[in-house]
Amino acid sequence: MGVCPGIGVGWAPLVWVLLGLFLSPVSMGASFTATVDRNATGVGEPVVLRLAFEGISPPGVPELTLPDGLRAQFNGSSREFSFVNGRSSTTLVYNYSVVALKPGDYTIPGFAYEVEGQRLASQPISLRVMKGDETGGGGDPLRRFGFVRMVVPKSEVYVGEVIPFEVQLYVQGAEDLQMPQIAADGFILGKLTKPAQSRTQVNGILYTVLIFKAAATAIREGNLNLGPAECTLVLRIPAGRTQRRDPNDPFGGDPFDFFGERFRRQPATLKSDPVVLKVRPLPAEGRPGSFAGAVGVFGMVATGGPAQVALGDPVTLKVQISGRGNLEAVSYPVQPPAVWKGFKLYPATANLQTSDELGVEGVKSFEQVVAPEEADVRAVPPLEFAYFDPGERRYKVLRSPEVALSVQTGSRTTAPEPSVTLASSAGREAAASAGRRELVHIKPRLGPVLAHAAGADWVGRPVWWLVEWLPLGLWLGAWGWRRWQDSLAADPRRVRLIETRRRVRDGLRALSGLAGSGDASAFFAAVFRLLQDQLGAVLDLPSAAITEVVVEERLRKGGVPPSLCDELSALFELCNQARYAPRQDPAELGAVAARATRALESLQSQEVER
Amino acid sequence: MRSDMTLGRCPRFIRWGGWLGMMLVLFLWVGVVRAADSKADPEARFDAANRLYEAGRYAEAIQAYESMRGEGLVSSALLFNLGNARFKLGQVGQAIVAYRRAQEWAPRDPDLAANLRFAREQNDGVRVPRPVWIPSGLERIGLGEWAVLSVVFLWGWLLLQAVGFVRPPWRLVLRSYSWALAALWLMSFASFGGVWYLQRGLKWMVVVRPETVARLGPLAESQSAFTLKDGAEAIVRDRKGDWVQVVDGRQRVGWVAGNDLVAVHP
Repeated sequence: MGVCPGIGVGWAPLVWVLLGLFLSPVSMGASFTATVDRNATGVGEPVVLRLAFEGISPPGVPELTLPDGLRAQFNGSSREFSFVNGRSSTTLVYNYSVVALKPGDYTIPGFAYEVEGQRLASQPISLRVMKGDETGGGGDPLRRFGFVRMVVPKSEVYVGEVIPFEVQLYVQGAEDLQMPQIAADGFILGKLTKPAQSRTQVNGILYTVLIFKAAATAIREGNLNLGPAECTLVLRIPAGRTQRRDPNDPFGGDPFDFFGERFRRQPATLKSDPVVLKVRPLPAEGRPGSFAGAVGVFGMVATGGPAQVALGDPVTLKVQISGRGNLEAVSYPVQPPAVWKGFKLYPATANLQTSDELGVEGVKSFEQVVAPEEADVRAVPPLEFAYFDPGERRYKVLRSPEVALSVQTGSRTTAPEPSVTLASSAGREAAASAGRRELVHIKPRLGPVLAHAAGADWVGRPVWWLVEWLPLGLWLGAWGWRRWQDSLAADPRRVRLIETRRRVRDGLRALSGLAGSGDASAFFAAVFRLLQDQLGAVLDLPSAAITEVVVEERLRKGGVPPSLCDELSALFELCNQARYAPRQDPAELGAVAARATRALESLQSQEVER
Repeated sequence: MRSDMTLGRCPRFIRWGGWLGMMLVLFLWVGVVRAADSKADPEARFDAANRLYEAGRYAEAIQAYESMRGEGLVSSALLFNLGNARFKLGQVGQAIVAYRRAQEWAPRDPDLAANLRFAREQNDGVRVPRPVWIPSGLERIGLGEWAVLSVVFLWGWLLLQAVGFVRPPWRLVLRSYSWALAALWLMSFASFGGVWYLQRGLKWMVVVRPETVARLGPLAESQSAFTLKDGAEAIVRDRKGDWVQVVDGRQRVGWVAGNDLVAVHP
């Protein structure tokens, strides 16, 4: 075991693997390409031909076979390394100068080489060679220092056809260069690309060439001018020191100006000649019904799914139309309504992805949702896409295969709108104009759990009502109590009556105890006091002033029933007798207590006229 | 001897009691764990249900949502997603029920409003008109919110009354606040009553069958009056047995089999 078994055993293989990944050349498939720095040139002006071998090295300088009229000279080779996304590659590049001896349209054929047992081949390259006086600029004296050339590969195009072209700016030296302005009446111009730069020799003068590329689409027929292209810039015109010095002044100038300005700056607008294009209309004959204006070369791939759906369920169709042409004009393959019988259709969405800098090549993807509404639907009908191929000068029709469907009848009677993600604003507008909306998608978070399902309805529970009404009840109680207290404060007689009623109630309770104990004197004293209290309260007189005389004088005259008056008189008499001849019989005392209770309770309910 | 018997009986009793106690603790523990497990991590269960939805397995998603709902894990989001899943399955009426239940807890959720409107548009779109005496937009504040507001205002008012009671010189200062709180309480309580009537006082039901027949009487043999489609909302007027007398958005009155309807508030 080593000292560091973790490193010695566990990490070493990983380190070696990583080193291997980073350091060893990854065997990517070898490739070979042939390109020229520009597709148009003048007679005698060299074009750089570049042969690039990626991941493989030919044993020697490849030999070229060029068509008559073209000469090539090997200029050397270079090696390029690249490291992209963890993958390294080496490219061996052979550069050639290709010069045309006479004007014309040339096609440099594809080159094929056998390297390390692999056969490598390149695509053909088109090269247009113009006469020396076609380089534009006419008799402009500045032409020697710079000129602009428009290169259009075709002279006849169709309406709707996309034409890539180049604006080539030749300068010996320039600064403050503006992007070229191109007159293009009758065309739709795409954006100019950033310029590629190379150097070439024209008529013995070495120029820097800036190549701008763009695409134009003809929108009407006729002989249309593409261009001229104008470039605004400041030319740097060589000016030798001897030219600037005054010959009569041997000491003229700045003796220390060894690094003085060797150029003069000349603002200029360089202008190319326009290119006349004959724009033909699209032929009417042979035009398919499904043609919707696509011009170019295209292919189509269509898929659909799911294959098993319930009635009304959405089926998503995905269509990819790829190729080269006016992709913006490519629209979703539309079928006649009769073809879609039994389906509910939703607006298609579109997404364009271009793969070249001009936006001429790429893939336009469509997505459409359809929903079967009839149980006898067996397949999604094939989609048909028609386009005009300007190369072959005829219409072509692409058809997708049928997508088999198994529609199961369910309980659905109405087809809800499926969730459709609209990728483009145009799609959204289309959907909005159709009055359709999307079902808002599900929520990702549960959120606060409200309550138990059965108890979620807490608002209707007694506790809530208690909380809601308790304050009101408390307030009403307090308010009533306050009013009661206020009313008592304003009515002393009522207070006395209440107090007397309480004292009498307590007194009668004590009376029963006294009767049981046989204490006659205390018993009758208590009866006498209770009679005084109650009569005093009823008659609103001081209790001490109440005697049996009051019964005769006030109660009988005040409307109290005679029987009650007689009973009260009898009770007073018993009390008086007891003072002098006390009785000890508890039963007799109990009977008196009962009589006193009845008399006092009757008296409490009497209203005495005063 | 007697002492031995006593000594012999006590350990047995304690031993059995110990076993019983352990069993009880075990049962309690198992119960607590199971209860905790069943309600453990509601968010994870919610995510699992959402995954089923995203996979297009709407029926299983509905089961998962309903399972959570049955255990008391109710939230407006859960009801919203449940509504979506039901809608995807074509159960427009059930979706409307779920959306309406969710809307009572999240009355200002624009997504909810959009989906409810969307679901309603699948039907003829004719809704039962609301009582004219209830201001529109009142239910933008939920029933619970109105209830809480009214309680807060009322207790606040009571507090001011109590302060005035304890500090009589402050009464004059507090009077305007007291009146304001009383007015707010009255308004909030009246609003609560209005929303209560809208949501609970009116017995709302939703048709959950593709199509149901409303009859002139509460019998299967009664003459049919009109039909209601899945998602049609109606208000209950009367019940007899399994039959429910409803009035629909077009003010038509008919008896519908109770099985064809689901109450927004069971």
